[in-house]
Amino acid sequence: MSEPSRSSAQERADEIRVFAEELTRLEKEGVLALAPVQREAIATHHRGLLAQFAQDYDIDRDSRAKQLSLGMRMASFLGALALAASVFFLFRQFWGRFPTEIQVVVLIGAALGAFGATMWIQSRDASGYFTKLAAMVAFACFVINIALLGQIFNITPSDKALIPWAALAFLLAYTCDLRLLLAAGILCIIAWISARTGSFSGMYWLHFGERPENFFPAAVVLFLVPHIIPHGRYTDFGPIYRIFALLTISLPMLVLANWGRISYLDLDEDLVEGIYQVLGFVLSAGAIWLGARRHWSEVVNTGASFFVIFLYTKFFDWWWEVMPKYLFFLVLGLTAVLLLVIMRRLRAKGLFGGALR
Amino acid sequence: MTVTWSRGHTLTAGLAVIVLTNVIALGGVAWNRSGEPESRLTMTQRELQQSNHYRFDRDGGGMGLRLRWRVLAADPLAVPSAYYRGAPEWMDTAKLASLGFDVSAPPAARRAGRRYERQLPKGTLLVLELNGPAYRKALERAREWAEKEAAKAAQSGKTGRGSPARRAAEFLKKEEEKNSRLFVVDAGPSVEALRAKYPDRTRYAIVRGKVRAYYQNRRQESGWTGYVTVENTHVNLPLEFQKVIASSLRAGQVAGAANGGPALEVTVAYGKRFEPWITAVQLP
Repeated sequence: MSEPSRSSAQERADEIRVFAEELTRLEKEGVLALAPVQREAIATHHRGLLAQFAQDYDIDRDSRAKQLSLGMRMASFLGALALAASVFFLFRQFWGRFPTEIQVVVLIGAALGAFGATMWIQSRDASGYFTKLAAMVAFACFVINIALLGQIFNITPSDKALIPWAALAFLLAYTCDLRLLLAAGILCIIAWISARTGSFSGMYWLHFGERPENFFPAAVVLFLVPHIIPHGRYTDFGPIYRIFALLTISLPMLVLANWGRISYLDLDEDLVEGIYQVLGFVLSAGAIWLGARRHWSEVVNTGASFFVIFLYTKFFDWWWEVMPKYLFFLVLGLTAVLLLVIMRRLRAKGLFGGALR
Repeated sequence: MTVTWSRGHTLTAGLAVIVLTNVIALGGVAWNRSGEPESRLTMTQRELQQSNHYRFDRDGGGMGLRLRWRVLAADPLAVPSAYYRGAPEWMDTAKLASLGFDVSAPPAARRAGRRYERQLPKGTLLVLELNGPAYRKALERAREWAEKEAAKAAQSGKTGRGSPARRAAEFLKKEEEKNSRLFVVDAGPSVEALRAKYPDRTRYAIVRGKVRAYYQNRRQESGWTGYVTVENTHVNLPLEFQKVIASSLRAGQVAGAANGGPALEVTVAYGKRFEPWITAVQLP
């Protein structure tokens, strides 16, 4: 897996463009003067790289192409969702008119066919847009395959279905370099680990969402994945794991900080809420610190967002009833300014281990 | 040794995931339906209603039947209902304890009570009884209610439309002719123990379900009870039975109401995994 992914190729192409612009600026300002031979050698090397990237990955060579590419990504995403919905309703409308044997063959055939088609399209689609569409449809076909088999044969719902769904989502995500399907796979894994955690405590698995602590093990696993499994060319995947890990631990904590009675902890409701409020602040602050140290901007942003949410939730509890509304919102605004000042000072002192990316 | 992951590997792995998952799912279905069914209930339109999977989905092409199960209310004085799914009369502290719920200490304070209440549901096996003692008891309660309201009406003279006496009489008629006779009558973790207690496999089906414990904090009477939910209440209707049912079920419900007899008989079998399937549809 030594070859770069499309995203890392695009990143390199962007760096080349910035380098070329800065080099021109430096030469104009008289700071640097490269010999024509050197300039030509660099330009030739970069042209070769860009041509290779364009051929292999259909990257955007300039900012205009990049803007167009953003539009294409949006169209591809919406198209994938619409196509997946179309497949679902196609099955819904017509499958009841077929005998059971035909239904089973159609379901399995659609899943296999869509997956095979995705692989075929990927081998011919350097841009990745059509591959994304096909991969989404393939995943939707497989989910529908298993869900409808369950309905046809009245199979008792089971969390085990989440495992093959996650497996196919990850396979497609890593093969086709698709973040959307990585997120789908991660969601399946979160649901499965949480359901298993809930089942260990004796509850019926479908109720795992009623104890937010069930999500904590999944968060730990997700956070560790990019550390244990080197992601090499998948430069965009690590941040997605970390964002989902933080969401998976912070959201349940936020819920528990306000509704202590749904916790596993056999303590007074107010005490449980207090514990999770403190843990929420500690976790958010820790995420900001760790993200800054490791240059994980997504961790810093998610941590900062939850820190503010935890803070504002407490402000609401304390002051919404007793303060005039103008004063309440003034306090919120001043708090935001204060946080900005603190973070700026910490950054200036280098406590974050350098500038944020 | 470094292994390079090729497109061929992906293709093989993906096809393996899809095929293996389907083999496991269909293997489970075959296992469930192999041999003699665990139970086989022959129900009528009283116990089964037509259902589409999603109400918002007007295009829904599939067709299924939904089990109209109910329980006999713990409170004999409660107004009878054809769809009652509250606390069953057989659900007590001992039953909840046998299902694994913590019923050790009744909570004194209301706050503690809320914490006890919130024990989450546990999966278990439930016993469905068709046209048995529970139905007869429900019928008896309906009859008593109708008699009581009739006696009150005789004194007050309120017998008009919408009066309690009229409602009780109408309910009794429905209970005799239209309401479901399928009751959840027991729960337990062991299929052997339940089958020993309910040996008639044509009247009692063991199915999967769940139980939620609940502590009632009342001034006069406090105590543990629980709610049951039957899993897999939607039974898919294969194409070969769809035409028979589609034409007769709606008309059958009317005919059933008119003469009190079955308009449709559907045999539902439950297999080794307690998953149902329809084995026969008959028009008597």
